[in-house]
Amino acid sequence: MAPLEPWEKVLVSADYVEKPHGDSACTDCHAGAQSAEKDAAHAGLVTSPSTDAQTYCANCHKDTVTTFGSSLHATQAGYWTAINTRSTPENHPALETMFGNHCSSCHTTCGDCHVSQPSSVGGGFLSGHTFEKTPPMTRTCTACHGSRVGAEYLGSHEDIPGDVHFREERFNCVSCHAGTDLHAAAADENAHRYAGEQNPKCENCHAVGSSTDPVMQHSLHKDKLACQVCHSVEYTSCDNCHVSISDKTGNPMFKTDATYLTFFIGLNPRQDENRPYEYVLLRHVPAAPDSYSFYGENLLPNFASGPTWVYTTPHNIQRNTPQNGKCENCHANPALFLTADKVAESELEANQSVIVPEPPKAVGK
Amino acid sequence: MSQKRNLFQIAVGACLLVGLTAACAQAPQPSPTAAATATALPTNTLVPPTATATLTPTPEPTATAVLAADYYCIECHTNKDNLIANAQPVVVVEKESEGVG
Repeated sequence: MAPLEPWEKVLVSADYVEKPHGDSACTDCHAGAQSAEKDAAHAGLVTSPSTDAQTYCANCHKDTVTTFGSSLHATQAGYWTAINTRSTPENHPALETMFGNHCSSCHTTCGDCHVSQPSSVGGGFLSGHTFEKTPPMTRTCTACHGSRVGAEYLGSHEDIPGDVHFREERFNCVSCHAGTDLHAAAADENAHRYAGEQNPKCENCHAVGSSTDPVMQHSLHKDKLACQVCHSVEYTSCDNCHVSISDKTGNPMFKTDATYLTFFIGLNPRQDENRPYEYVLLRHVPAAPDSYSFYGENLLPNFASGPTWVYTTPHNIQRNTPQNGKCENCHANPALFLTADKVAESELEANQSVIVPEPPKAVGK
Repeated sequence: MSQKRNLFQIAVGACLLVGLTAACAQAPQPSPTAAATATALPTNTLVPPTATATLTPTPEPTATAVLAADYYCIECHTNKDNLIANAQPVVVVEKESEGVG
């Protein structure tokens, strides 16, 4: 997505004052001062008022602001859940510095989705400061969730079709991820996007495994396989991300060693009543024991406490896939399963909970 | 004489009444189908709007139409040329990161 020109980022549409929110004075939210001089007008300017949503948004949108404040989009607590799993409390100060430099720019405010493009893609008004009730998908959702979810959903990988919900139905993100879900408070203290009830859930639309379902395989595999095991295709994995501050410019930077397409079925590391599946798809995350070594030695001493092949729900759903055509495509195909020989030796301990000891045998054997 | 005249007038009136009643009974009643057809007529069969029905164009909002409290903000931020003239020079940041983020 091409960045906006500087003037384009702050050009207010002529009819903005006629629209919702347009009846408030600019200075009500942005402070600053009335002056013909740019510097004087911008003195004390609040560029992103919704960073303090309680003050600026809650008067009218109280319920949304209340839950959004503890949502994963606002708190980024999911990252901390993963980091804390591998670290210890004494490393927190160094990790918080790291997080502030490299991760917190993905923090989302009301305005980051409903008024502007996210700052991580350069910012700027979506539409002349108009408040968009439903943010445009490619300028907000996939602007941040682009390298994996966006690329898979939209079909950016060569020879791999986009998600059937996009190709055939032109669903956008909120077709499945309702605003109330995106604004919802995190499910529990162990904040993670896969914590709590599945939402959305495929069965909300598809009567899978019901008495009217004509597909026998759905009943046979119900609660044993996540839907994606049969209905996803290859998706992105990454290796070894390292973060640092540039000697040359002083800017935060990262380096990932490799990005590649994978498809591996593994054991479910988050098996519970909400996700009872024995088998799920796994994606390699670019965590490494020394990912944050720029900020201190051995900041992830418990690196092996969490897998590097993690539960994933690729957004490239297809009705027909290479693995679901015939029983033997999966049952007699160990190449599809994450077995120990496919895991780096240094990561074997971390991935014990997801490695498949013995892939399913051929049907009838 | 006048009694005969009255009888004649009554007779003529009665004949007219019977005739009109018979004519009404023979006229086709509008059926539900005909009514539905009538309401389903395409809108382009309607009488075209007259000059007096033309809407007055809504004037484009202008900077002077906004609250006085916002005058300078709106005056500048709705003016593309002004924003271009006052924009900070673009600093091209060299991409130092490598790989997919």
